[in-house]
Amino acid sequence: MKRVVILLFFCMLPLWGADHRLRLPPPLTVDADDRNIPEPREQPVSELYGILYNSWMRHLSPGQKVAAVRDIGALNVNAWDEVPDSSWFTNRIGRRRLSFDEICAGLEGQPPENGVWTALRVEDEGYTPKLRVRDPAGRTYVLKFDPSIPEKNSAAERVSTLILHAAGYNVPHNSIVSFRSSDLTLAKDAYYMDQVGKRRPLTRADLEGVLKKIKPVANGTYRGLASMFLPGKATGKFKYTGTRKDDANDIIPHERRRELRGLRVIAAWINHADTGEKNTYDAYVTVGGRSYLKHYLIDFGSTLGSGDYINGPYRIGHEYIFDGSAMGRSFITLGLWHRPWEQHGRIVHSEIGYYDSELFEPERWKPNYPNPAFNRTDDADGYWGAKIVTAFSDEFIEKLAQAGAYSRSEVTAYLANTLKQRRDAIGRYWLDRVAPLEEFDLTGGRLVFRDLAVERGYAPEEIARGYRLQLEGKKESLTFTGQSAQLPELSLRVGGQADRYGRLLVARVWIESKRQDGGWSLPVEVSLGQTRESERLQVLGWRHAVR
Amino acid sequence: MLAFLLATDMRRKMLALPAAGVVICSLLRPPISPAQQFVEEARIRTPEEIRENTRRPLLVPVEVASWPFHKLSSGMERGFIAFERHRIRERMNLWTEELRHHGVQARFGGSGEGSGFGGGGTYTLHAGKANSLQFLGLATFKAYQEFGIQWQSTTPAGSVIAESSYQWRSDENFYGLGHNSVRTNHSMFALRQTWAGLRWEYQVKGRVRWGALYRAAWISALRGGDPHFGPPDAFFSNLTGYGTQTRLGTAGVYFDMDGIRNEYQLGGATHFGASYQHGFGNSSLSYFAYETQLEGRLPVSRESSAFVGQANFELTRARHDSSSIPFYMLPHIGGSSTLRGFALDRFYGRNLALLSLEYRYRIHPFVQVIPFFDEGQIFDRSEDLSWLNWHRNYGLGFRFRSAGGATFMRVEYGRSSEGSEIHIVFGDRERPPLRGPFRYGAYKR
Repeated sequence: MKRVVILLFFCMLPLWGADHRLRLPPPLTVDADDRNIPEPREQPVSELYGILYNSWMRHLSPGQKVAAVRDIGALNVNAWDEVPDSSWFTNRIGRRRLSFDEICAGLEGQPPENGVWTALRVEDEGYTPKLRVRDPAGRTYVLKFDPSIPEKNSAAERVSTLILHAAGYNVPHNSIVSFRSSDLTLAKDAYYMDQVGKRRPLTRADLEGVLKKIKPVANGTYRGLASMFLPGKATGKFKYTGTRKDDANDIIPHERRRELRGLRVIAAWINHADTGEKNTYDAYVTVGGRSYLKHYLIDFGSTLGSGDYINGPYRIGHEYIFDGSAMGRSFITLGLWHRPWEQHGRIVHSEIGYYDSELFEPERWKPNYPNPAFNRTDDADGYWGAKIVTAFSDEFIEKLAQAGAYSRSEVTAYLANTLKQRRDAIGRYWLDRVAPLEEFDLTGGRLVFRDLAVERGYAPEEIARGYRLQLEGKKESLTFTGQSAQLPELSLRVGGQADRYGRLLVARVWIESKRQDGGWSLPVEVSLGQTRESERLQVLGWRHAVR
Repeated sequence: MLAFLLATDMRRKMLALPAAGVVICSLLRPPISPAQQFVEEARIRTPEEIRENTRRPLLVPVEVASWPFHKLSSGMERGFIAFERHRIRERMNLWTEELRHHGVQARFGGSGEGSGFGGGGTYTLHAGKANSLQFLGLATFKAYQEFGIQWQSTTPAGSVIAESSYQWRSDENFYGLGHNSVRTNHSMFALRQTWAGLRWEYQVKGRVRWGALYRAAWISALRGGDPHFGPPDAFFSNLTGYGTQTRLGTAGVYFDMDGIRNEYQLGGATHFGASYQHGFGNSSLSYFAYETQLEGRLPVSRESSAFVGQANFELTRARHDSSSIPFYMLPHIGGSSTLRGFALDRFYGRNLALLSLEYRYRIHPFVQVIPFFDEGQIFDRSEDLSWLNWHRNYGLGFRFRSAGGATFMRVEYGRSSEGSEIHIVFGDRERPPLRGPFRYGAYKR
């Protein structure tokens, strides 16, 4: 027995062996992951396997369990706890105020030109056929239609495209279009592809057959969503875990990428439950002579409550398709526990589907099945996502809702209100849980900062807002109000070892903010020090939700 | 490794073992790919930093346990990718649709419990909207075979159905007659059952139906296919019906009323049937069979749970000049549809009473949990029907459903005085209009 204990003890030693604390992250706003790489092979993914693995099988992997326990946060954050621009993400509304028009103009691509569109291919996927067309300018688009209720999916996809693009993700250019049957002509080599991939020449009758499945709007035109072909060469999908072995730029495991972990909050906002790997896209693009992989999110047709319903509409966002905890709860309570969303969930407007704010709990939101990156979302990632969501102003949201081009104004108003209410729920939760302090600066010995909760209306007025500050190595803490605090005298280091960015860490300060319930939020850790350029004490960076 | 080999005593070897494990694990773990070795200042993290922060601890048990899991899951992933790339699911759907369009439908398993894994299909020919001719063929790996032909004509005055069936069941259980039969007397026999008949049925507003039928049947009980169990005549001498063919005619009437609208709503259903059997040729077989099934549902929680109670009674009354009724035509209980804590067809007797109480509740739209309690008895005379000798069991079941609402699998665990039984049954159980002298499908859970 003694020998076994000794053996186990030595086996466990490596657990304590490594220093897991991250050093002060680099002061970079761009992660240069656009180095030239050879063209990777296509990486296919399986949706069925994704459901099976993420719902059940992952629980059987001891290695995964250990990795999850040892996850101490996202790896691709910079000194200011932000995600640098990369082939995955470009900071937009989270970094600076952008107008709605700027966001629309920034989408990669253009809407199709009016005129005669050439039909290239019809893909019958057993649901609603997709039509591939070329516009007079020679650009290729996939036309998608509303399968059941007019406006529902096309509007959701347009609105969510703009939201995700504004947030910073790479998305295709999706625009709502209307056309008549006479606007379509057949290409010489156009073909029809059935559900099993069999091809035959496309005929006018096929085309009319596709249009017959769609309800035309009042004036005889058809409404659809034109999704412009993404640039570059398709190389499959990206996974929410691991890295691509054939992409030398891809060195950060995807489940450790902040933009994927934080996507959970943004997905919760728009109820984007279908965030599986099948709705991702890797394109091998060439920009400025360099060829690399660019990572996209695609297919938002099931956001804002407009998706297919497996297990009923009200599950979406509240429960996984196979949710062990909900099933276990039902089992133990002999079925007497009622899922609140089953009892109180309701669809107000059919054009929007199940999208409400009354039952929305940001911290409990769930996609259709567990997402490996979302499973790793920690407080810092959640706060990061909430920071982006709450950057969307009321005015911006109203314009977003209008971009859905709903024919009924009350539907537009409902969507705008629900988006605002869900945004506020996210803000109230995350900006209260984590000290929402940003842009720290040290002027005249005073540490000044911005409080996002105060600025965005999720906390009391600036004067009444309380904070608590603690300096590294000191036991006592300083409680203060207002967004600045006088720091005690700090002794500067002489001849210390600077890091590769020329930074010398002198001291760390932790600041908490008062929560609505009277407790203290998770602190933000501010690093103070000197740089190669200046010996003056200054703020080197900060990290949120440090425990 | 070297330290382990060179260590002279066991204590030292044990100290060296973790070090050896660390080395082995390091060798097993793939290094950073050579393509990822380049590092620039402009990257947010260097590969070394990432490796430092993502490497798993070198725990030998974890590594060892993870390896087969990793191999299994990556193999599965490749399989699923191939499945989706070749659109197998879509192809199967298309084939199913195509076959259905031509009147062919696949069916899984055989009719009744214990028929084994397998399947077959039906082929239906339609002549107008009112007339159809259906052929059925089923076979399982348990040597079960069934073939049937059914012609149905629907008129405003009801449906007229001419039907015939052949069934071969090679592994039927028999433990003796009466409620005191002994479990160790487990014998097996094979049953060949052929019949042809005419049925008339009238349906009133979909909830009430009644009908009458006449069938001619040829039924034989033969030596079973499983060599591990002896034939019934090895345990029981002069068993009526074993080793001979019984030819008989059966005429009956039945009445069904179904007031169950939803799984978890207040409702009930009843079934009454009566039939008269008479032997052909020299046989003096002549008896009546009566059957009743009552079911009631009481909701507990809206749309998610309900109590379901069932009561089943079967009585046989032989005429005074009748010969003995063959044992396999007698009512019997035991198994997934009757007493779930007992082996299949555990008790045979002239009369049967069966009570069952279930609490059905939903834990998922596709999964239902059913704690149950069953109580049943076989009796020859009403005096034998004492509460003291009823057979009782309790247990827990799971019912798995498809998105369309049909049950595709039931798993039940029952516990009784004779031990535990696990039943795995595929598909929904359809109750025939009238059981009469035939063995299977009297109840539907």
